[in-house]
Amino acid sequence: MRKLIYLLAITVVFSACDDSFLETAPNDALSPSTFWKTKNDLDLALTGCYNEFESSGNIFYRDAGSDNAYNNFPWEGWTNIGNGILSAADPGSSYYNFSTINRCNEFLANCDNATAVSEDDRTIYKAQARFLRAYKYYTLTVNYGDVPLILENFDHPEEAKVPRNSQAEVRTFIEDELKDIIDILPESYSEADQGKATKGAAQALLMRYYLYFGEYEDALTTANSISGYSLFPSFDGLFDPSNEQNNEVILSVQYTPDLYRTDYTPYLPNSIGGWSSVVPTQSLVDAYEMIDGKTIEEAELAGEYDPANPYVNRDPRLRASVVYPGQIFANKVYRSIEEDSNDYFNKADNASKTGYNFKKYTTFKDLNPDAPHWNMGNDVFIFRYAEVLLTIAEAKIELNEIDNELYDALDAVRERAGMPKVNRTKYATQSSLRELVRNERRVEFAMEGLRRDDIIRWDIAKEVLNGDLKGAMRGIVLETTQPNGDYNVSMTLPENLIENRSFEAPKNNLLPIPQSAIDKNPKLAPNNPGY
Amino acid sequence: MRKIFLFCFLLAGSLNVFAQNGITVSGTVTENGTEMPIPGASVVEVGTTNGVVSDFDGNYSINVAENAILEISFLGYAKQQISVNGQTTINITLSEDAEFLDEVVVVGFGTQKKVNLTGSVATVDSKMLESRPITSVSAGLSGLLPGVYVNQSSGLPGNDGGTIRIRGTGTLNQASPMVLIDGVEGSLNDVQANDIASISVLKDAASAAIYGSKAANGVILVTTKSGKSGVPTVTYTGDFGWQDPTVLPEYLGSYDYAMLYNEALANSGKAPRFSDNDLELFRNGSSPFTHPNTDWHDLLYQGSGFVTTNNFAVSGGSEYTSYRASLNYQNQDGIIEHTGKKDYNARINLTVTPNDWITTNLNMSYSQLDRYEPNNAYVGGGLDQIIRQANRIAPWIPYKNEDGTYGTISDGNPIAWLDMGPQINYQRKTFVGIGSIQFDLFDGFNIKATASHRNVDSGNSELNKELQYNPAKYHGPTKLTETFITNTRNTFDLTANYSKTFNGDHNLDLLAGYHAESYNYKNTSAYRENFPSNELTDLNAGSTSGMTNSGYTRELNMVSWFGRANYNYMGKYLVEANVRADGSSRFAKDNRVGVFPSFSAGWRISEENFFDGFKDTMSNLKIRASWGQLGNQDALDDYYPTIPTLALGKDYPFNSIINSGAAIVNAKNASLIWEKTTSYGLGFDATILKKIDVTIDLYKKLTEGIIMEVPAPNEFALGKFFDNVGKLDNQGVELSVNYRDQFGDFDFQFGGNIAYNENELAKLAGTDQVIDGRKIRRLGTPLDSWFGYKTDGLYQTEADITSWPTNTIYGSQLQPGDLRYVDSNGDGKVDAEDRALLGKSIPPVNFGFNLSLGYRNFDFMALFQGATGAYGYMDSDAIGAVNGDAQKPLKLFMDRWTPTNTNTDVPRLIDNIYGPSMPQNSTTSYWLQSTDYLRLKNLQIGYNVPTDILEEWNISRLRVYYSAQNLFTLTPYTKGWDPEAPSGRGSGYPVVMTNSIGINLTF
Repeated sequence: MRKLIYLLAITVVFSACDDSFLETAPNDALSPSTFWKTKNDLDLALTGCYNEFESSGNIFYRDAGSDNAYNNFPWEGWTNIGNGILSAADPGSSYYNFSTINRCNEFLANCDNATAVSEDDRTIYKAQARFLRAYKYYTLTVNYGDVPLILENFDHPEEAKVPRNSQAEVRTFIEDELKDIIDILPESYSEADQGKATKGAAQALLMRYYLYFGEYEDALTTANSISGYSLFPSFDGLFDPSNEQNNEVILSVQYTPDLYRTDYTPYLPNSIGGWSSVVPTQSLVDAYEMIDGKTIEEAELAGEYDPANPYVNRDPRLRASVVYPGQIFANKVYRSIEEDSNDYFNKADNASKTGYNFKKYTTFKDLNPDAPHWNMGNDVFIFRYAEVLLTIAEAKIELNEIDNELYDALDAVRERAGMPKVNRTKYATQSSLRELVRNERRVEFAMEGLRRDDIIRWDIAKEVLNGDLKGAMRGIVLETTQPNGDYNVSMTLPENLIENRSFEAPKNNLLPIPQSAIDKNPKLAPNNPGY
Repeated sequence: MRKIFLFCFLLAGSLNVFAQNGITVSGTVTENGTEMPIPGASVVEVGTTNGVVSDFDGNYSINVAENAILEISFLGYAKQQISVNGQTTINITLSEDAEFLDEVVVVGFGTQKKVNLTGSVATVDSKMLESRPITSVSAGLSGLLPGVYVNQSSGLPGNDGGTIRIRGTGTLNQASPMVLIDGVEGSLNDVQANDIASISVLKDAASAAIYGSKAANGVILVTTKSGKSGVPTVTYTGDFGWQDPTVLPEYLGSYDYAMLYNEALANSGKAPRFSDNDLELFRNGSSPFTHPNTDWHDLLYQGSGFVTTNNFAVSGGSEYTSYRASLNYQNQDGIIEHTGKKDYNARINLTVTPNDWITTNLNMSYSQLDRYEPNNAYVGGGLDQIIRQANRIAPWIPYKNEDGTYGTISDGNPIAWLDMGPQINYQRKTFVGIGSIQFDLFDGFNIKATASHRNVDSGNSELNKELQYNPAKYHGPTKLTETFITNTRNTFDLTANYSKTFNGDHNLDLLAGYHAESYNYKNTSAYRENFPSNELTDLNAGSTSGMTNSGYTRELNMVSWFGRANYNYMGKYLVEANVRADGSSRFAKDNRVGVFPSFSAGWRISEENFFDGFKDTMSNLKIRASWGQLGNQDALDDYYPTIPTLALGKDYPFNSIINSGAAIVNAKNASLIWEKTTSYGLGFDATILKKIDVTIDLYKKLTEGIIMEVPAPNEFALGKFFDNVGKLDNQGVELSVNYRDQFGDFDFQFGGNIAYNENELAKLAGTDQVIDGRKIRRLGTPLDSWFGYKTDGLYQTEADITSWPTNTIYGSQLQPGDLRYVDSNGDGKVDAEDRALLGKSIPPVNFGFNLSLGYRNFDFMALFQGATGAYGYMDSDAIGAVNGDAQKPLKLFMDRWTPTNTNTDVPRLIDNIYGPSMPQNSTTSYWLQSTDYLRLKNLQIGYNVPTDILEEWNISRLRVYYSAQNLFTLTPYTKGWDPEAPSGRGSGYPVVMTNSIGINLTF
């Protein structure tokens, strides 16, 4: 009898489990089945769309795919794009990614379920997601031409094996979408929402889009429609972290220290703990005019430019954008041309191979050499008003509307930088102005990720991205200084040959779709012509 | 009623003993025929728990009732019962039980006679783990069991366990076997060698199906030692050892490297870096700060490598209880300073039998591992970077400059990091409590309930101190991450067992059971940076700006039913069936339950009448066959692989203030289910001339529904879509032989095992191959084969380059002295299409053999272990390169090809680690090297101090010994690297050899 009681007790113990014992769920993630109800849900999901939609790295490294810069480390993905040995198997840095598009599609498909949110709010939220999606399709089609146009997400990987849509279809989508949301997006947001896509951002993207595809009439109209912005008074100050929100900014990648930080280690010189991953080329340095508006070639003929001491009396934007030999940066004299220097090209892996480092955005090191460069919060501009002005100028030149409006746009950008107005007699023809505006874009936006697309659309990549890539000549930093504090240099030893670059047009106008992507979705084949 | 009566009878009987004091019986236990004493034989008074063990000379002495019956037994000998009848001297001769009929092995939820096994179960005698300077049990298993492959790839104190694979790698996912200690799932880290009584490895589905969905990779059952009733024994085992790397790479010194660097620069048309004067200074060493020749390895491997182990155990028992308790402490100092561990273990096993039908067990163990290592100010993560950078940094970089600051390369200075002392502390505390109660309700029928609680708390504290190496080089700021992980598993098992013999010939054994478990995991971590001083190491000292924390929990529950039926007819015809049904919270409701059956049968031919004529030569012969299915539910790390979620943390700042964001990151697959392994086995067991045991096993193991990441198109845009798509086949053969003999005073034993496993990928997710770096998964070929270019010598001349099929990968970079890539597909050019399978990465053949000799008081044991048929690939820093400050080449480059040294296979020098002949960029057969090896895993020489000396001190046994682990290795592998170490850049802690001396002492 007692045994039976024991038996019974055991049976009770082990039958105490019920079905819910096997129902477990994570406690640190939201369930889609209960999501998409409140405004807070939409805020979470929309913020998720903004998360990593663009990055400082994407913008800064992109210049290494142009004659502006060189990427020293093949594993970072831009060396082979710069020198043209990229292939489908080794495509370098890839933009072939639909992650943000997927999040936006998910948002757009579910947003209307949140009936607790007003229709107006939802429309503006959706317009932001549509902007981000259009921005990503613009990036995709500029880099890859024909790409799959995916506006609804797939349930299963098998369904996602879709062919590419023609670039024309993608373009139509981008254009229609942007025109549509320009009328929806607000001109500005409350302070707490600074950084969200505005009407201006959509207009600026549409403007950039028209310019890229050579639709100058539309580019001009769109540029002219952008209002409410103005140039920040100082070019130097524009890139200072304390001025990250100013009236020149149309859209920027938002950063904040610690929690959404950006790391400037890849750009800084070896001597202050940087990697010199992306560094300016001699060709970029040479593009900066003299302070009086002469090109260096013109100045050399006039005896006003000394190739052995070349950084004297130059466009102030050179000093604001590039750390060059003899310059004081982060409280130290940059001595990359001297064999003993930690910044000498073969002194260390992380010494700049060109003898230059980028300075734009890193001037915070000048203000405070101890600033934690790996943990910065500077916003990085995607669109700023100077681009609108230079687009107006360029479009008018291409439309052959040589008028004051054109010169005024150029002058505004130049004068802000401390340069004289355009010499209207020297630059009177369409072709001379074309040269000028192209150079102006180059020096104004160095390191801001526009140059590669510019040289491709101008069809000059095959000239400027071909041949030997060179760094600075070598020599010594002298004891004497210039009024701006820079030390004079004497650069007489031959420059360092870095690599031989090649660019084949039209093949290299587009990047190859990575072989890994084609392997996973054979319908993407064939790859872009030539790859 | 009868029970109670019996109980009273026993009680009366035992009272009787105490009342009457009884008589003292003594004598000697010897072996029949040889008259050799049998030490350790058990002499028990039948019907009581009163018993003793014979001493080293076979003598025993026991106090019993005058009319008692003594039972004398010893493993491998037939049991005997003798009535005392008032005699005071009883000498006993035991006959060898050639068939080991009574040898039992531990199987799932019980034990079974070895001769009756129908599945494939391998066992390790605890003797093979004793007195060895091993610092982890898993590594100690290497070479002991056929079909059990153990790879110990590192000697890092506290983290030097071996990776175990049973019968090949059965899945692309988690492929380690399930480990149960005293019937409860745990880890081999929970137990230490001196506490182990036996280890059984269930290798096939027939033996492991009772563990169902966790058993597909095999099951290791560890039984810990328990007490025996009788005179208590106290044992102490202590040893002291010292460790050294088995092998270290040899890099060039400054002078040689500087010369080679100049040569490489010249080969690329560049100016030399070092002048003749520089070279002379390197050569004569007269300027140690500007032109040093720093031996970075000498600076790195300065640790003592001392290992001390102390083990103390008491055991014994009385009528109602038996117990064993042990304490173990192991201290290990690394071969790198500031690296080491302290390992504390305590274990108590208690059995209480309050009456004749209830048996209760309480097992409790606690272990604590404190492990520490230095960190690096560069990227953190501990020793890995320190070893890596020591392998990289050029000898011409000074350890310290003349002013006392550190010399640096761009990544820092590894010895400067080491100088900062231990910075990473890992602590793991494991408590396991197991309680069980068994009711023997009726004749042959019992019910047993077991509950267990296993709790593992681990805490990692990673400090990363800032470092100003010299005025120009700083790494920082100081950072601290504290992580706390708790995981708890509670289990409850209820089994009913019925065992009965009908009509003397029909033996039936039935088992039914229920199992429930819940597993909870919690991870909490906190981070701060910017500490005011390197002396402050607590979280509170860090800046609150930039601090972060995180935490999450996971839960996994399981409910199972299982049963086993075992029947044999006269011990001749054996059949067994198992079934287990598992329900797991890991899977979606409709797919939650999996059923895992197995069947096996055996035929003991030697028991047939017609075999009588052969019995003298072959006393035992058995054929076994089995089929069964097993599951692998632990294939994924993901606890909720079927539940879609929006992940938080997809944040973005607006107006410099972080906003929380959420997004779907990974796709989930609601139809995901366990991986299923079907195994077939055929086995033969034979005993020849009563001295040689031979076991042969043939098996086939087919794993279907392997969970693989389906290569989702970029257009799918979500990461990691898993599905049950893969299929992997393993088949193989295992042979083990044991031979035991005696020649006069010599005892001799040889044990050997060898296993061959063939592994073939049968199905992949929608593709016929997946290239993963240097390896490939291709249908119809072994898993993770090396994949790359075959090479055939070096180009000797420019003309050679032109006449050889054009290498389109490296084109104009190629020069005489570079590797000639083979045009494998014969299309006239060398390109990515010419990559081919180059060899296996997992050895198909594993073997081990041991030899024991005993002569009088001396004993000797040697255990060899090895593997053949696989290759390894050392690259980047492990081979080194001629490329400035942050690389240095191995000595082999001294014999590089030059126009004047053409009779060599070492390629020319190039100042580019990605050069066509370097191992880094393209995988080539030139750098792929065979990892075949034969290793003296353990060597032991012991001496037992004679009993007559010990008796004066009341010591029953004292043995002193020398024991060594990994004493030598024969291998054709890349010079400087251990064949068991992982392929790659060689930044792991070296594999070590240990020499030790110790004592075993028993009171």
